[in-house]
Amino acid sequence: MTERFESAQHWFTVLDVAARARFGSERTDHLVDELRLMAETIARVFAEPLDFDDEPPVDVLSERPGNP
Amino acid sequence: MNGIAQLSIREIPARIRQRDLSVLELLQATIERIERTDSFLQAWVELDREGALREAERLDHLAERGTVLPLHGVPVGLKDVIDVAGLPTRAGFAPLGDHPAQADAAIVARLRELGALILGKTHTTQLAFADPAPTRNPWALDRTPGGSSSGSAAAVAARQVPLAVGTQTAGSVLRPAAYCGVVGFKPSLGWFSLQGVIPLAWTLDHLGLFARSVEDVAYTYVALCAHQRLELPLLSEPPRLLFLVDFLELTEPEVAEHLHDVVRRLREAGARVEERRLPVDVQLLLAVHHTIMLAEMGALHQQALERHPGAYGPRLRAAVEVGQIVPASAVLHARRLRRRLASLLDDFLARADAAILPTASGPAPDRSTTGDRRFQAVWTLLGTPAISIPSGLTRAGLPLALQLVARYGHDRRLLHVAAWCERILPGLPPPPLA
Repeated sequence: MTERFESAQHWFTVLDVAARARFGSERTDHLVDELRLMAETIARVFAEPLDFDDEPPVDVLSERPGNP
Repeated sequence: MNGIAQLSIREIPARIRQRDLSVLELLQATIERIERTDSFLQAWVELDREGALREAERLDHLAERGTVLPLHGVPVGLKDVIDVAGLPTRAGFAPLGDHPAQADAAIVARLRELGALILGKTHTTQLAFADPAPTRNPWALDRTPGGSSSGSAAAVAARQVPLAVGTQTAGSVLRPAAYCGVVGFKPSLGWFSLQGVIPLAWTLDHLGLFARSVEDVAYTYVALCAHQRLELPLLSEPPRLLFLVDFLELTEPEVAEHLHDVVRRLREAGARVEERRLPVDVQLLLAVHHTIMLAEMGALHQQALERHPGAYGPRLRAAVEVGQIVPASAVLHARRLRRRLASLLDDFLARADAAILPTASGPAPDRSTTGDRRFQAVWTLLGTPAISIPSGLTRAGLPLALQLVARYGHDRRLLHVAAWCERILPGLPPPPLA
């Protein structure tokens, strides 16, 4: 994962631009705290690398042992 | 407090079988109690007096003919995101209107099969998220009962009903149970059908039970699951527990001190308790949970938010809006991590019968919030069974609770461990307002 993907500031910029396009500037100004939290959250998620071949995006339940 | 309100869930059908009690008497006492206490507690959105009366008469006729079911006459409150045929499911969200549900949710149908008396709907935070419900905490009216299953927890704590059902997508069963001083149990993900339940985030939503004791919860759970495979053995010796110290670093000092005292008592009673750290960072688990939850909420509310933006509470609206712009790459990354984390934690939890940690970082806060979901959300993400047991009171007289979690699918063993621990703990008196 690149350093940019692990940067909360990068993700805040991405989210802020998306929010302004979707909800308008006035509403986005109300969302700043939530956007900042989500930016930090996304950066934390991307800071954890995955093995693309061994960890495909499948549903959690389908591979659980003992799933009723 | 009248004697009927103190009966355990197991005792109710037993007393009906012995003809010591009729369902009608039980219903009348329950309604009187709710009417006396709910003006200040506000646990109930709607009581179905007529429906419950008809059902009580039917159950009494059945009992007269010799048929007494496992939950015969047990009054139940249902969080108002769960469909009951003939009653509206409002979920605290005005656009859903007052249209009655056409059919019972699967859990309601199962409760009826077992003879439970469906009494009505309990308050939820709006659509089971985080904007506080009107419900008060029976231990202190200025405190939150927790959320989102606020009314269900408060109703059981105030001895209005012995059993209530809620849902949990982050911490909405265990946290209100802890704040209200009752037992809250969330079975493994997918164990109870969510058919007929308004979703919040599809892959995280669970149903859960509230009762006054582990025995009541276990009795109900086994009755509900009678058709399912329950292969786990009874405890033959005191349990092995992993004491998760990571969480103690995030608690208020009084909670940490209390949990150390609880662990000391359990050790003195024979439990083998090892202090351990999780094999992964708690913040990563919470980040994965938050990403998936908000993205699913955003998708779920795509149309409703466009049509009814003004109907949303501020916390729910903000979460849905942010969820709608989370990049797909982040959501997929989080889902893949979820699978890895579930596997890692399953290996970790396999080292003992259960892990022990506080249910919440502190006692119930004021009513501006529904409390801290971090300690419960981790286990919701992983889909493991989790139970909250009252374990004492703060110096200010508010309930504290311990949380036990076990491997996915080991629900019944967790209940056995919880019952063992509950016997060691002092137990709480009824709340001052009960």
